Amino acid sequence: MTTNPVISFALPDGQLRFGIGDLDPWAEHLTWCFNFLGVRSGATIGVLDFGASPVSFLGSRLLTPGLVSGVAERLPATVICLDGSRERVALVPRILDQVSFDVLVVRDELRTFLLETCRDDGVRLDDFLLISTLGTGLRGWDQPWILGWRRIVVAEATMLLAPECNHCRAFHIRGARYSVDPVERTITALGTQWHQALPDRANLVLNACSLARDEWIVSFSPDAGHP
Amino acid sequence: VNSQSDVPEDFEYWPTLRRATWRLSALRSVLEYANQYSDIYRDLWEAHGVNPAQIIALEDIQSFPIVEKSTFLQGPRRRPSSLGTSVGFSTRGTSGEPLVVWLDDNDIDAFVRPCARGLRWAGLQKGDRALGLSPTWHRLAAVEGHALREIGASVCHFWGTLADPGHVDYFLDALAAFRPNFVSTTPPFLLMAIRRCEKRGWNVSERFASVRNVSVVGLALTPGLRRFLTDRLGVKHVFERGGSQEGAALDECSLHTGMHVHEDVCYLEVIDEDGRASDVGQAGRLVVTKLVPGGSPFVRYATGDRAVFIPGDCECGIQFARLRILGRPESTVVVSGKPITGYEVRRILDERQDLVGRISLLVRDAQHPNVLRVAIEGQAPVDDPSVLLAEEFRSPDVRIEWLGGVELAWSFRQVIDVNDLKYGTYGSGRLPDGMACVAPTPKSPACQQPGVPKWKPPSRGFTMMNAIMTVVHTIGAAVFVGSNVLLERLVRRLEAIPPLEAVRLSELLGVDMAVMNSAALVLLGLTGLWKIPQLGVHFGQLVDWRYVSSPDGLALVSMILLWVSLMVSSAFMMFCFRPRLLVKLPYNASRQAIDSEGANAMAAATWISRLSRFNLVAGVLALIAGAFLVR
Repeated sequence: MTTNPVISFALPDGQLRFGIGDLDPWAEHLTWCFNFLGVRSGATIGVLDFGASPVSFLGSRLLTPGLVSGVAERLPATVICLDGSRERVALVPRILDQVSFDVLVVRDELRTFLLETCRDDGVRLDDFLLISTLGTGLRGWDQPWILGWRRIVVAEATMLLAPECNHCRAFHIRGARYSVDPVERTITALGTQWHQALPDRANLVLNACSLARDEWIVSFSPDAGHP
Repeated sequence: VNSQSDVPEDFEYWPTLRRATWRLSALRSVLEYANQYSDIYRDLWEAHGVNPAQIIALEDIQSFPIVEKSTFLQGPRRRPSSLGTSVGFSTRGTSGEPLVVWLDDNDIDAFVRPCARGLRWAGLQKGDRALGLSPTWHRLAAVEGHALREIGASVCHFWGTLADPGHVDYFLDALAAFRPNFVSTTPPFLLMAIRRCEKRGWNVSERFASVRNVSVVGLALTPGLRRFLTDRLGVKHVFERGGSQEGAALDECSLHTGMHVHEDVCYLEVIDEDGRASDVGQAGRLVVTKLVPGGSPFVRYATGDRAVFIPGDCECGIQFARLRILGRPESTVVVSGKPITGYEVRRILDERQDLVGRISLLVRDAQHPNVLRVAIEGQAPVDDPSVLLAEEFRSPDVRIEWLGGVELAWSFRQVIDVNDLKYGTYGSGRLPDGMACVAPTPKSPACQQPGVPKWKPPSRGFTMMNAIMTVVHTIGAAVFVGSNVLLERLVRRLEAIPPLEAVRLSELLGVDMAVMNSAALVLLGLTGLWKIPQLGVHFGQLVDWRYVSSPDGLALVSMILLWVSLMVSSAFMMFCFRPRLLVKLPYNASRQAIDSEGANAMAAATWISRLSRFNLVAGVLALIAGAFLVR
């Protein structure tokens, strides 16, 4: 591995490019997000998401050149790549016959199909920590809390990764990773020019959750942020 | 014992005996690894009375038992190995059950070298930009990213997944944005991309202008399909790669004489039904032994593929054996006791310019074991390929189902059951892995709903009805345009006689024309409504800008708008202007009233004349658009 190429992702809303050394801080942040969502060391994590989603490509150094230590190495955990297709979702019940998962991370568009598939096959998902990823364009960010699911916003083009809090039911913007402009209502990844504008309906509140003081949270319901 | 880092740079040029010595050492380390870390292998070998210590030559591996997927699926659920970093991938489950395969650092280290070797054979150079496979799709894809970096190329991944034809737009967008020199993808996805370009009116080779070479994996390329892809994409080479989650790794050189087996990472055998090694050139079952002591071990694993070693040496100088993978039981039908793979049928069909690129599926029909049945997209060509297939397979009875307007999404699946064809479903309820579906556009709801029955081959009654509708539609268009041409000529002739007589005459003749025009327009509307879905268009697409801006969409929407304008124009003629020609004045009407009504009638006649000319022009334009659509 002698040269220093860039890895790029062609996204629907732009291109995301990483140089060598850029990826590991993001893997550290995703690990923090997973910890925040309740993923523990030693977990077996099934990921039903696209390869161009950070939830996938930051999963392990085995998957992405230039990544020294991914989530699998940092937690540590075992990651099973299942891709973000219905074809693979349909296989989940049979994969569960072979491997015991602790966590299932599912792209939100596939969540309903996964539930239908598992219901049809008589597979219960109650034992797993279920995480849905709200992807490009923040679709579904303003949808209400889903019982039994933890959620994480993944705005790929701006690398906004914000987990939903079990306590205040709002999305936490980690201060160590992002700066927030409450006037412009934008969130920017530190050291980048990737500005994520917030939807009009979003409430941006500082110091609102007892779990993480001095941090901004984003909520969509009036009572969120005030548990 | 060799470690994988010891693989010599020029290993592919080593003579056979020298390579065998090196590989024997690798095989021994793999057997030790499997014996140590896999309960399944340890128990199995003990039961068969074999052990790694008895391996003296490579061929001694033949005394070890062959394992199949079912061997690994027995037993309780497992937790993955906790040995260091480990990533799991699932096979596609085309044979019924997926298998989870583990990849670790040793695997990556070992497989990057052959992958980079293959990419170099495929012309990838340092500094190139490569649009690569999504790393989560397959272990081969995960290894590919590291190999690209090893070579010094920069890599881009497109948004979405190769498993969803609806994501082909993202692939094309990435192609335009990243301008890669090299593309690694699958043949089905590439074919979907070509179709999508055509649907959108894009020049395919312009879209691929920056691409020098393409490498494809996942479906065996027929010579005809390779030529088709090379020509359509305008690239120098289309290379074929092979690889399984279980460790097989193969790549083509630029002579395209078959894929070379990367002998440093896998030991491949082709065996007959009795488990003996097949002669070179004889097809048989493919058995894989991964020569890397890492991740999930695979020793004498029958992948389910049928394959054949290609005799002779390759002129490129590479000493690695060459293998052709023909297909799997699920991509094979048995006709008169002889297995026929989808590849073998496609190889014949793809030689035909009018058939290459069309999707063909073998039809498994237990009721007719001596009939080779094939379902092919589109209409039957003049020169039916049944004769060719019958000659090739010495099967006197070949039956081809032409799927007409049904358009399928390219996938890896190559066989359907006759009941699927009969009842228009693929299995009971859920779409099998990789199965084709109706895809008027890749983003159509049909492609997004795998659980829904996908298509029905047209019944005889439906076909007849469709033919009647087509005839009525065509006659309706001809009558409409013809009657308006006649009206136009008539109006010109009437200009030669006194105005009031002309008005009276045109009123008399106009009734017939108006009735004929209106009837034709109504028929055109009704039959047109019927025909829109037969063009593979959902009504929702008519308001989708992506479809409307395509040449076909533009033509169809223009036709609809022209039809609406003709209806409006005819309604004006019928209900607004024509009554003005029919005013009957009393006998004692004044001269002034007569003149006034005469002037009104003449004005109405003038408008009718203008509108009939508009109708003529609009009718001809609609005809041209229609001809474009059925081209």
